[in-house]
Amino acid sequence: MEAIRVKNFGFDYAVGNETALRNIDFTVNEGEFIVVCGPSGCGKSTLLKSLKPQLKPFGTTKGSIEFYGEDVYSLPEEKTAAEIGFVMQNPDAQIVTDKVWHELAFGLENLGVETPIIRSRVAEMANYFGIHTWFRKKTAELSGGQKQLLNLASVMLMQPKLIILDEPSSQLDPIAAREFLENVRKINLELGTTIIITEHNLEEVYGYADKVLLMENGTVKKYLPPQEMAQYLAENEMDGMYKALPTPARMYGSVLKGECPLSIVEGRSWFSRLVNEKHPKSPVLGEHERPAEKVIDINEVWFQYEKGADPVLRDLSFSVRKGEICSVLGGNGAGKTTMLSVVSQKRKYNLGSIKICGKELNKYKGTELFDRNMAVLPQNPQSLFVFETLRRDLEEVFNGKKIPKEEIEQRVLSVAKKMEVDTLLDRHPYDLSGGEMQKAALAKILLLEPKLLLLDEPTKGMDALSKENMGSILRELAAEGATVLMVTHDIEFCAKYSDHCMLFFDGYIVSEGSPKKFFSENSFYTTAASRMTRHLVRNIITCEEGEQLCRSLL
Amino acid sequence: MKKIFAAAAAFMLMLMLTGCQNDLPSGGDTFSGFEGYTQELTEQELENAMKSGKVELENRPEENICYVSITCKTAIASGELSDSMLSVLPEDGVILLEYKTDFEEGDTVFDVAAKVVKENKIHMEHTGTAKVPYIEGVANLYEFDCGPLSGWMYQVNGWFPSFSMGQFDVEPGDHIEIIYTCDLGDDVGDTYGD
Amino acid sequence: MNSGKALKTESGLGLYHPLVSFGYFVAVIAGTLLFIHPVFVLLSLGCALVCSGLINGKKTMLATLGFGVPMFIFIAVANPLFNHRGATILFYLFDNPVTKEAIIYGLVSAGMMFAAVVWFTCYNTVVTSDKFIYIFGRILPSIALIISMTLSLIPRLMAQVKIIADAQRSVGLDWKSGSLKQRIHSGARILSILVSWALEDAVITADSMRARGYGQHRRSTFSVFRFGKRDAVMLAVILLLLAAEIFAYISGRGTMEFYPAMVLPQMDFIDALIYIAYFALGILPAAIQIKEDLKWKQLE
Repeated sequence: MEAIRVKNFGFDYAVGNETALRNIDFTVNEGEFIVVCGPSGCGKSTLLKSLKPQLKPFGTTKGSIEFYGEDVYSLPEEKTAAEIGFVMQNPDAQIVTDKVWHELAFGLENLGVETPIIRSRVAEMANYFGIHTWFRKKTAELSGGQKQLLNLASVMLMQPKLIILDEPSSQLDPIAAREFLENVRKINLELGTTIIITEHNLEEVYGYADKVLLMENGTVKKYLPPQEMAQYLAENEMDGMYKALPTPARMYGSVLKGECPLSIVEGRSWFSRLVNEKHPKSPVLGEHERPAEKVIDINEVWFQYEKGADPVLRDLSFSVRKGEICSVLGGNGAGKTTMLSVVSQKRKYNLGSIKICGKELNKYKGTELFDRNMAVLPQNPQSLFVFETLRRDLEEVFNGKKIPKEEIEQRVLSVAKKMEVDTLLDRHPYDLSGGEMQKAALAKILLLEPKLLLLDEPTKGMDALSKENMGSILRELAAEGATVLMVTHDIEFCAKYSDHCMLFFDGYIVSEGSPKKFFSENSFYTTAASRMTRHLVRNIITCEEGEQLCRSLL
Repeated sequence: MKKIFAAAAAFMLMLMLTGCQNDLPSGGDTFSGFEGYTQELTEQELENAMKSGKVELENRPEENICYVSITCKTAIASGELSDSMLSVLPEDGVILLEYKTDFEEGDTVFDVAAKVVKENKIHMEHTGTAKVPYIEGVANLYEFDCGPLSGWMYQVNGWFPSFSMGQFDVEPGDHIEIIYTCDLGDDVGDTYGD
Repeated sequence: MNSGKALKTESGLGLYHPLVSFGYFVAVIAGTLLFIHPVFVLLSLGCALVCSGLINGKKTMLATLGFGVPMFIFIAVANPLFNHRGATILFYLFDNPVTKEAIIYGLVSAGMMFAAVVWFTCYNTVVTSDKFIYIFGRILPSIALIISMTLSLIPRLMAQVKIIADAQRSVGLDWKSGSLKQRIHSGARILSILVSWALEDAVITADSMRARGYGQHRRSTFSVFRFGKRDAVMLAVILLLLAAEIFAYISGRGTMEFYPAMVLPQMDFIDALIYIAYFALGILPAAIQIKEDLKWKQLE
């Protein structure tokens, strides 16, 4: 049965210059899992919002959208409110009320459902998602992953036939993101709910898809099952979409032999067949030589949030050398972000010593630490912007410093070019996409000419192309002599771009080394390429290395 | 926690303010004595006021002695007082009669009154300063206890001065009477209200 | 608020339906405020302290005493200094009498205020915001939703202020250092960013509400609270005790004259019954709590 049929649909915004939609035709059958992808600004969001009458942007439409055979815009609002669920990107702002149970009931209250019915439905759903353990908590106390799961569950309570998710996991860390998407998958498989989802990062969700809808410039470019889509993308390199594919699909794409694998398991057997009696040599690990000069030198540091609390940093010691890109990996709540806030003077450590550029951290007074010395890229880049254009925000860095106007303009422009935001200078910072905003924030920070950059989850909410961009920018900065310390969950990014990796666990650094050594020695905490190939070839870490290996096997 | 304490504190203050006053009968605050009771007069004004009605005694004694009476006959008769009030007031309304007392040169009526009530363990509450004191209550009988026109007045040798007793210098032989009115002085022989 | 663990929000009286717990505190606090009478005040204060000790945990209890005792002393001292009524004069201070009646009235009203404060801390532990919203929501559903939304917004804004302040500090604008002018400037920036951020979030929240059908239908009000048999029984008990209280108030047995002269309460049989009822009302949460604790002990 057809859940959604979009017929020759078009949309023009009443105001603004966002991408309009043209000639969109596709159908979604009941119970299908559809992944919508496309470069940023291709009209994905506009299309998804158009499917939900309550969220349709202002503008004029052409053609029609049918929901179970009826025009979606002429259905009663109550029906579409309940039967088409929508989960947005921002986990916090979607939450309306202060208690978990109230949030769950909110939608049904709006429909005027009586308390006993709400009660049993809430109970069912809370059980289904494992929410019952935090059912009476305050919504403000939840983690990002829990918040997003709550948003999904409160939509599910209205018993929708279709759920639309607009980049739902982009603000979650990879582990929470995976859990969330597994829940979406579970709904699809167990309850038969139709899913339409967009994601920046296809690594996880691609394998779940029944069909993939590829969009470009407001039109549907292709609508194919995932394997065929992978082949299509491999043959027609298109603006980073190929790079967004999961590692197994990309390795397949590099040789286009056999059947396209989507998961690691499929990937392993596919790789075994590809190797087939050939005995490829494992690349040799080079010596890991680190520069001598220590920019950050942490020695036996202890930190507790309050007296008597569990120490978050236990006897922590490590160093970051000049010109390195150094990554700290580790699970949620391990204290990585706390470590960053101790290094950036947000919190005072209890014991031990921290030296920044050879000087004791406690000796830095006021904002001295941030004066051409250290810069921190916050997790929420919008917290840096005040003005109505990006240009003014960047120029603002020079306020109070006696530098001629021309020089300011020139410096802003050169940094903006480097960060590839020079075309966005006259836009409002809040109108930028996640990746663009991250780059703009980095530009602002670089104007302070820091010697040391601290980054907290720099790739959160970024698509593959933006990540690559960010990576090469960091490389460039390091080549110019800057030092980078980043805390991240993004194993693939870390493997590809860092010089030195550390695993943070239980308050200290458990293991460290060059990315190659680090990831090939880890058996669980490692990259997809490594997991796919390690049974036959050692020391393959990044997807690019994997692709190269595959090509060499032909 | 802070929130409740703040709320409790505000609430407490409110209650305190009402609590301290909660025996005051409500009604228009019209008495407040004569207007003059709460204003400080200049020497010149004082002299004029004295001229207008001061009663000169024919033979004043040599020593600095005077007589003080405190009465509230009209209040007792008014029927407005509660049983508990009546139980602490003398039945005839005479709280103090012709009490003979000495005084220092330059003592005002208020100085003498304050001394006398202490000597006789009589209750008297006033507001304001010693220069312009305002007698609110004597023997727990307060202004407004017998209606909006009731309160305490004073007379010296039968004359009701229209200014504060803190500015009236006592002279030897003076007969001072602190007297309760239920009708702005009309019921006790003052003509001010007319 | 408090570190929480010692608070007994979810035990004893807190486990009853909000109508019961809210009704209880209305009855007991109203009684406390209405009866300015040494016996009633002593009963109320005593019960309040016992209940607070059992319900609020050590930390809150100490905080309450830290606030309540000085307040008690302050009122007890202030009253005779400002209120000079009373037939029994102890001495004169600045030509105004200090009376025994005023001192006793001060002590009684200070005790009453102290008891009210302690009851409020118990109320705060037992009747949490969601219970209050529930009670309120039955009368004014839309206002209750607004309160609920505000309560979810406040912590979010607080978290955002912290994020913004940290981010601004790392670009050299620290509102905690520099000259006053610079600090005001930095503070204003934080506020400005917060406002635009909040507005952006508000658009999303509005979308999220609309997407879930807000405003299309008459809303129903859901709550996790169920009114069971034991709630009915407890409510009946509270109402019965409340009736005794109302009788005491109407018949004037709950008030005492302090001025001009104190009349010592003459206890008759009905008075005794009223005192017992009042004590029963006051000690109710403690009794429920103790009964529950004993059950746990037995089970162990």
